[in-house]
Amino acid sequence: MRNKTVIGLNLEHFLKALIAIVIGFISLLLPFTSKEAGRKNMVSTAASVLSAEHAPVISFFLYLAVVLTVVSLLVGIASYIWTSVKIVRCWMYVQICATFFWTMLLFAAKVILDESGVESNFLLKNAGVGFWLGLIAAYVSLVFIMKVAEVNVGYIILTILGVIWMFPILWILLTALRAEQGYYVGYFFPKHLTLKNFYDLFHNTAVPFGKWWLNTMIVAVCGCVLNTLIVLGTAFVLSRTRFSGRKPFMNILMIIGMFPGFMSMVALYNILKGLGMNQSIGALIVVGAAGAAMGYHITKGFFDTIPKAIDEAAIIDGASRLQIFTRITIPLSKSIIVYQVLGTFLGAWSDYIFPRLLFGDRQSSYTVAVGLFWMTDFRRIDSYYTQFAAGAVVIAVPIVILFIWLQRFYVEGLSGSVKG
Amino acid sequence: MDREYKRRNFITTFTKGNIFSKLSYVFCGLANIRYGQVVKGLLFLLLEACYFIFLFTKGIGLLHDLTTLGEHEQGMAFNEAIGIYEMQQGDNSMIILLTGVVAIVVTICFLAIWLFSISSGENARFNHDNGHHVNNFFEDVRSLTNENIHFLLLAIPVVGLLIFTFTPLIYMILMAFTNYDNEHQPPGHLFDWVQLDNFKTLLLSSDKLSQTFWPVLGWTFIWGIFATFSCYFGGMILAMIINSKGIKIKKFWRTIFVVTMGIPSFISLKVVGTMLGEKGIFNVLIQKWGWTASAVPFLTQASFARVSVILVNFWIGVPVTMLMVSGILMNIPGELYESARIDGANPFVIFRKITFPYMWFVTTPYIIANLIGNFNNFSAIYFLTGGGPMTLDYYKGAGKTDLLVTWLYKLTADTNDYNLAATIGILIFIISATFTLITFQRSGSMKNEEGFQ
Amino acid sequence: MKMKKLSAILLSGVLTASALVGCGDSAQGGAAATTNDAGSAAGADAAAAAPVETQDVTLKIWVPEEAVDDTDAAVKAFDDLHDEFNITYEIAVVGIDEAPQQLNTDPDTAADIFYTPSGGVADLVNKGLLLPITKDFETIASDLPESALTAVTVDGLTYAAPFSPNTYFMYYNKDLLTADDVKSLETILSKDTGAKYNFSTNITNSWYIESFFLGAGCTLFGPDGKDPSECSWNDATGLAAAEYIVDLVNNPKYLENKDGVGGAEFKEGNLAAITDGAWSAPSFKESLGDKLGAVALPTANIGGKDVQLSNFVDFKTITVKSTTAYPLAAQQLAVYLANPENSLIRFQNQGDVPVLNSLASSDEIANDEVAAALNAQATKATNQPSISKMGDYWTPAQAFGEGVVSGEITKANLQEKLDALVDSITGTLTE
Repeated sequence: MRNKTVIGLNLEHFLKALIAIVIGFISLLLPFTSKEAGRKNMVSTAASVLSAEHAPVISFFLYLAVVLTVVSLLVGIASYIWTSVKIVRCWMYVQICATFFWTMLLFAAKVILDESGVESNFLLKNAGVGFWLGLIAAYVSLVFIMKVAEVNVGYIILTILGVIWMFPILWILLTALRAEQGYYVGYFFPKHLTLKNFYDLFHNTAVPFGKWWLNTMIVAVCGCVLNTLIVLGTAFVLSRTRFSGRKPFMNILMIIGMFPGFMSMVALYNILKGLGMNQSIGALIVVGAAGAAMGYHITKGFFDTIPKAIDEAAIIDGASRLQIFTRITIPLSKSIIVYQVLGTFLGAWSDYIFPRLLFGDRQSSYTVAVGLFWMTDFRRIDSYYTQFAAGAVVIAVPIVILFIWLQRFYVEGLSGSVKG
Repeated sequence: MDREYKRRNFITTFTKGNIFSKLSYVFCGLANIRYGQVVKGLLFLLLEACYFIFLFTKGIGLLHDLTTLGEHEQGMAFNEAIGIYEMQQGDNSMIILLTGVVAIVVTICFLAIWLFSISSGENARFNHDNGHHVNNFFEDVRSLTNENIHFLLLAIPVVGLLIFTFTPLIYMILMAFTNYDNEHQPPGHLFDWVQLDNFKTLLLSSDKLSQTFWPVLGWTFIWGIFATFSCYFGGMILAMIINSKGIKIKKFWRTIFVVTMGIPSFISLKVVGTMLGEKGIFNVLIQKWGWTASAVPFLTQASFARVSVILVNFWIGVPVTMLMVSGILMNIPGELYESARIDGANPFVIFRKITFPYMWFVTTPYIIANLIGNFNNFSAIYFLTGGGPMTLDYYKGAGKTDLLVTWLYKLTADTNDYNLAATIGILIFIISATFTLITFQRSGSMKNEEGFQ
Repeated sequence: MKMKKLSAILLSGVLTASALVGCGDSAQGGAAATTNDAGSAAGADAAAAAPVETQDVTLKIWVPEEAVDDTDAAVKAFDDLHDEFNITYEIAVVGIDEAPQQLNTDPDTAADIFYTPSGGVADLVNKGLLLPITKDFETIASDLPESALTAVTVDGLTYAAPFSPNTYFMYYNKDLLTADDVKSLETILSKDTGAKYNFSTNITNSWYIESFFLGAGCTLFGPDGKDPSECSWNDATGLAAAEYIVDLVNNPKYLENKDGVGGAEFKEGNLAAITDGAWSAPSFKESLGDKLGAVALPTANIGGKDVQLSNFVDFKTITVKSTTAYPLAAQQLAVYLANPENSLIRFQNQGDVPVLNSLASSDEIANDEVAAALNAQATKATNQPSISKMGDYWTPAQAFGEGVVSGEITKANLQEKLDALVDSITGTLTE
């Protein structure tokens, strides 16, 4: 092995991979079931499940885990003899499948063993050493095989994390599609799927979701424009000009928002009332814009990175500061603008506490967040829960699309601005 | 006429100034008018007149009421004629406090204008005496687009902040010095000034309230640190994996994680909260899978609940950090890596010696902001656990996962103890502001503002 | 003022009635009932007969979403009935639990007339937000049970017009339990029903846990619920009740009803009996149909004797805000909305069981199993204390329940925790 080199393969790890797969094979012969079930090894477990009368469908996880481990060992030995990129790749795919089924056993072992009558009340922590060794060996050999094949091992972590991250999202989606109404259900996959929840959401007289959606859209769009302009203006002044009191002003701006907002919300409400703006979505836009300047920090950081020489050259050419701002700085700040716009847009959909207080009984001004939360009141939640989930999906879809579309700018905006 | 060619400060403008300069302390803008800025001077005068009209018609009354917070309590009288009770409106301490604060803010604004008019008058005199050009009104307006652009661009934010942030803030601060609690609710009752009593009860007395405050503060710190750094490192590692060589369709992987950002956090928190319930889907599944024999009290037992909220916050927070770090990773100069690789450093050493120090340096302000944000992370706690599990060890209302900020909210919403809530709010502010200012002054970004230019 | 002019005109007709209302109030209602009826009838006649000046009245009304249509019809009917008012009105959807909070936020934009749980009346009165309802109140006062009158009376004045008792009772699955079984909690728990769970209630909810303590004989805020320094839950009786709760929670046939779990299992037929309110009746009926039974809460063997579980009862009421511009019209309309006719409509369309004695004993309601169960339980229940100190009860009691369910509170530390509970409920900040 040591003297072999194959382009496209990193044979340094070949031996380790082979050892790991041999261990995986040995673990098939070590105790798999718990003590009560007589510490059977995996092969004989598979045999008794195969002969059991009521073996569940998912028993094939068990068979495949066994079979694929053996196959992987054979392919591994084969690739030791005829080392080539193709056969190692093949080995990798086999091992990926084997590892997948081993992992699935984590979830399925209880069902398989209990239902086929091999065990009663199987608990994972009682599983035999063969089970754990096999699982670990599957992963270790997969890692080494991937290293041999020069495939990034990160895929394994990404896949696992991705599944974890998508799990609650999937749950929301399934709830939105669930035909059985009700808050609580004790199973993962709905018994019946339907799109009725979405239909009901928009055709419910008590819940004018369409109107709420439109309100939020107005707030979000106006907020995007106003807040972004204000933040850009503030950040430009603080970054590109020097005037007396600039530093104290920056410090005040930074800390003034650190008071918990709830306390002042009642005061804010009364001020808005004094201005005749209470209960209107206009108030929400104005209050959002008024506080926007406090978020200058990231944008200022971004502007700080634009070379000052550009400004100086423009000044020599007779440009005013305002012209520099509108003609030079803004065109250079596409990514930070996208960052601001996305941030404000997202905020409008999720802001709850203040709008709740602001709108009071005026249901027609509710934003989506207030409206959706209204549905979760304990008297309503049982009848509205699936619609609530449908509402969540309706909100999330445009935002996610926007994020996917503008991801690059968002990343650039955020990173360009955070600097030492 | 004695000419002075030096610029004077606020005091010497008065002591050394001529009759116009001196009078402009009383009649704003007089000096501007004298030295040729008639429109500007008249504007100052007009603003002054407006303020004094406000002061004498309303302001004095408002400020006087502020000292007493109202004297007439609401009453009720039986109206014999129609046979019903009628309310006799009393003073509303809450409104009096708020309008009083507005009067104070208006006064502060006037003082600022007054100071500005004096310095503006002095400027006009200085330019005039030195034979420089004195800007006329039109030129002054034009300067707003150029050397005075900060007035133009900051005007709206400053006005907005004054009205919608600063005024409520003063109101809230003052509330901490009153007895605006459950027993003194306007309009039925008046509340009054009580000096520092609230601070004493909260911090010094040995009753339940302070026995609640300190543990809650402690958990707030623990939460803040764990929530911030778990997301920070988690996001960093995730971003490094996604951005490492050999991972294809990077955008796909990023999108998978970004989807969590698309769902408003209160919805995902609420849903995850149900999933974590005793009979929630997580417990159903892990029992079905044989991972545990009985339900795990994810949110109902104090230490489990604390771990759960940190983990759920991790789920929500990692994608944000991941996106940010992704961007920064692209900025790290490639040569650094090249030379390290030539020196034979393994990936772990490269991370420890190059990536991490760079990242740490670059993101310090972000971490600080995040830390403060997490101390005050209302939604993560409120929508997930509502502060629960409740405990008898704490003052009524507070639970084992309550942060100061959620406890404060409960004090206002459930028990109407606004005075205590305001006191806690001030303490939160003092902690956050001091911490922020100190760390920011020390961090590179404030010191070398122009480092990258 | 317009008001005075109007009152002068109405004076002749209403004088007698109003004087009587005054008497009625000082005598805690009820006593002068029959004469009151006559008096107000005479007043109404007089108002109808005399050509009256019409007053323009603008009112805003908050009702839960399911009550909007009925309220709309009722206000129209009221307007037709009263020539002296020309009512312009607006109905907004605000639930009964949300109304007090929103009134608190901004009394100016709040409705003139809104629903309030009677438990919140004292607190709102303390905040100066409610107007006493005296006008026309005598028309329903005599028909109200004593407990309802007490619940809306603060310092001798009635502040709300109650229309429906609000409490929970027990639903059971007739396939699994018989009408005899459901009389005792012991029988329910010990019977082999074949279902996964036999009984479910909500120990972690402070509106449910009290049924054991109060049933056993403990008191909250004294026997009349007016003494803020009194709570006897940590005495020997309380300890017995608490031990019973601990045993109950550890019983494998018991299901803690959290996050809607109980309702879901009950609808699936996996649960034999559950405590819940009238609001769940429609969804239960839909799933279980004829199998659904409803009765009062069972007895429990606490400390060696069988006691009837006694939970809080409060009332859904209609209240008028203190700053309303049209107090006379608002009060009359509030009472009108709580009158027998509208109470019956509310029962038929929204399932709110009427509190009025005359309706409760009527055939239509006595034959309705759910309504009968609610009324039966209402007589066995304890009046929810209507003092503002009640606000300090909820969270400590919830904390106690959560402690029991999570297993932190066991029989070993029960007395200590009960002492802490009582301390939290009765304690005040400034000693």
